[in-house]
Parts: sequence; C-alpha cells; structure tokens
Amino acid sequence: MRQQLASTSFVVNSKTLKLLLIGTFLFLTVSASADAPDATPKLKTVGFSEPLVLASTEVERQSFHRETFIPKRLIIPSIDVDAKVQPVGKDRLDRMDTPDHVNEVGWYQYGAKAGALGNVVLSGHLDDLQGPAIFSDLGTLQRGEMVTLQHSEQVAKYEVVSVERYRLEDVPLASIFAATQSERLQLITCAGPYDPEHGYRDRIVVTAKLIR
Amino acid sequence: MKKLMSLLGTLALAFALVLPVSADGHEGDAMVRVLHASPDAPAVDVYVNGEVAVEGAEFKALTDYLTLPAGDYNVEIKPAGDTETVVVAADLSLEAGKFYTAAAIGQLENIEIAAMEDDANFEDGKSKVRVAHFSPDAPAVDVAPKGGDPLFSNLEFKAVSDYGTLDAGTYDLEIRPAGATDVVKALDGVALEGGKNYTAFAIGLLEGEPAFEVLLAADGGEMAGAPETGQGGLAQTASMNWLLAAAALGAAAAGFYVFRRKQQDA
Repeated sequence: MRQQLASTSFVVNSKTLKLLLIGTFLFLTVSASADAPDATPKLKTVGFSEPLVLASTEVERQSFHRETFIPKRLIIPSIDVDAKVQPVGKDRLDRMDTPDHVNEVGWYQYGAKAGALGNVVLSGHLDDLQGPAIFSDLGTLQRGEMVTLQHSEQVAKYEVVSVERYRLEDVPLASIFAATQSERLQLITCAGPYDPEHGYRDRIVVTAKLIR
Repeated sequence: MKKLMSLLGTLALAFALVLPVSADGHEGDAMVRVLHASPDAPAVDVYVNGEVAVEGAEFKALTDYLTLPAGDYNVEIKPAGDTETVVVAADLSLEAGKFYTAAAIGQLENIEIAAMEDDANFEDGKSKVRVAHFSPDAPAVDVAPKGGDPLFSNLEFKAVSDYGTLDAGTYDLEIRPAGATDVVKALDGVALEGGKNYTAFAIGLLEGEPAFEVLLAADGGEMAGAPETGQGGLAQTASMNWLLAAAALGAAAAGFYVFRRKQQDA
C-alpha cells in the first residue's frame, strides 16, 4: 500500500494528496477500531512521515492549456465588416472553399481555431454577379488595424501586420495553410482583372497576429 | 506557459525567411522547417545550398515550413551574422509532397542535425503523435497518460518515436525515466485536435539552463489552393458603366445633332 501510495503521490497535486492522506487516516482508524474493540490506542504507532515528505515534493509541470474556439463572427471595424463565419473545406479543385452566401466568411476547418497556435484562415468574396461582397474593401486594410473573431462570449483579437497582393500562382500557400508555431490569422479575397474563364487574376492576403 | 508561447510567437515572427523559394505549394515541392534545439548554441542562421534561408533563430525556435523544389540539399548552420563559421552541416534529400523537420540537437561541442519526415496524412477524429527526445542530459524516458501505461517507451536522447494514433481530446501526460513511476515532467492539458498530427519535442537541460521543456508542434498541414473568391460582379459593373457611359454619350451626340438640325432648319 505504501509503495503504491508513494508512486501515485508524485503525480497528484497537493489538494489531492491531502485527500489521499485523509483517506489513509480514515482507513487506518476504521481498521484499528475493527481489530481492537477494546480501543487500544494503536493509532499512535502509525507514522505519516513518508507521505508528508512526499507532499513537499513538487513535480515540474508544464501547462498546454489555451482558449481556442471555432469562430462564428468576424468584425473588422475599419472596413465595416460584421459577418457570419461558416466552416468550409476544399472544393473539387482542391482549393479552399468559400461560403455559399457572399456576405458570409469561410473558416478553413483544417486550419487552426481562433486563438490557437497556427494559421486561422478565412476566405470571403470580393464580389458576386451583381456587385461588391463582404471582402470588397479588404485590400484597403492598414497595418495595425484590428480584426476580431467571436463565438458568443469568446473573443480573439488580431492586429493586421501585412496586406499583400499576389498573382494567383504566386500566393504563398505554405505560409497560409501549413502548420506554424505563430498565432496568425490569414484573410483572403480576390483582386485584379477578371476573366470569365479563369476568374480573378490576383489574391489579396491580409495577415494578422494574435494580441494577448 | 503563456509567456513561453508568446515568446515563441515573437521569435517566429522575427524570422526573415529570405530564401528564394517557389512560393506555391506545387506538387513538385517539398516542405522543410528547422528547429534550434541545441541548448548552449547561439542564435543561428540557416543556409540552404549556400543561400541564407532563416536568420536569427534562437534556441527553442521552430521555423515555418519553407517550400523547396524536391531534390538534394546541403544545409549549413552558422552563428547569426557570421557568414564564415559553419557550426554543423548536413545533406538532405527532399521528396515532392512531403514535409520534413531538420533539428540542430546536442550541446554545441557535439552538435548535429537530426532530420525527420513529418506525417501530413490526417485522419478524422484522430491525432497522430510522436515524441522526439532532444534533451542531451535527460535519461531514457517513457511518455504516458497520467498514472497510466506508457504510450512511448524507452526513448533515449536523439530518438524520435514512430507516430502513435490517439483519439482527439485533451490529455494529461507525464514524462518518466524509462521503466520508472516517478515523474520528470507533468504535461497538463495537451489538446490534440482531430485531423491533426503532432510532434512533442523534449528540449533543454534537466540540470541547468535552458531548462527542460516540451515544445508541442503541429506537423505538416492540409494544403489547399487559394480560394475562388469572386464572380466578376465588380468587373462587370465596371463594363456596364462603360456601356452606360457610351450610351449616354451617344444620346447626347444624337441630341446635339437634332439640336443643330433644328437650328439649321430655323
């Protein structure tokens, strides 16, 4: 029993350890009275020295806990964006998908959650067949402007660090979709000349970093 | 830990990734990232085939993935800002469509490069996890769920385990000396997301600084093409405006003609 207690005690925090000690004490008390109905004070011979020594042994701990969530709402005050966010995957051509509704924003479900390490990737339409859509002004964002992701009470705030425009074939896909130890938000929309066959020639990529 | 994470974030952002790599993740490309896990080595620059690819990586820094065409490469690690001294070098063969991590490990006097392939095949609802033991003064270790049987056994310094598959979820894990029940380090709240793979790099020194710790990194990435985010409405609106302008011009011209005719008739 003591051996087992010793091995467990290393991994429990001090609160649990106290409970364990109380448990042991009760156990001993019960068995003592059961074995000795004449109430011989056997308990005095029971030593707690070893468990008490263990209680002062601190295990080195490292916590990986972090608040993350699937974003439901995107707010970018400087360009008047307050949009619903929908999870999206990939389309038939293996491209990141976009939401069906042009005034909603797509969250790449294979990327990072809001507030997490990694790339949180959002796509939004520049336009539909009639005119401007949710990300029509994305390219006018400036460094330092705020972008907020929400899911009810949960909030993750990001600050714009770069606004870049690339030819479609030059978009840095690894920086956007591969794993990273940074806490980044990537916002993508179309730009440039439109060709009915190939769509828009360019993409705008806004990168923001998580603020703590 | 929060402090550590934000520090890492800052470090990662501080990297200048200046290698002239092909920016697009085409099928002929490989992805490689670099980990500085040599506890007493200075900040370093990483050169690929003689060109600087990463600048100023400090201990504990894990770079983003760099995109490189598949092929054979020579990787050299030099003290930051020093173009002459090669601390350590290695040749790497990179295959198309694969992800790799190259880690500088060991104390500076025994520094070497450990290269490993990262698993970028993902499984819904599952996490594939492996452990890399890169702490030069730590004994062989087991990694186990709190109080449970080891998931990874008897990993010595320089060992990189195979990937094991776990259900997605949050785990309390512990690192123990191999075969023992005491705990070297308790790892609380390790969140493993479904469809993602991870490497837990054990780095630092058990005795001394920088202290022993675990760097948990997601591996690979579910790559995709850039989204199609427009239907041409704005462009068509622009051409519609042209037509309207032309029509208006035409109408004005016609009006002027009629006006002139009227004047002439008068």
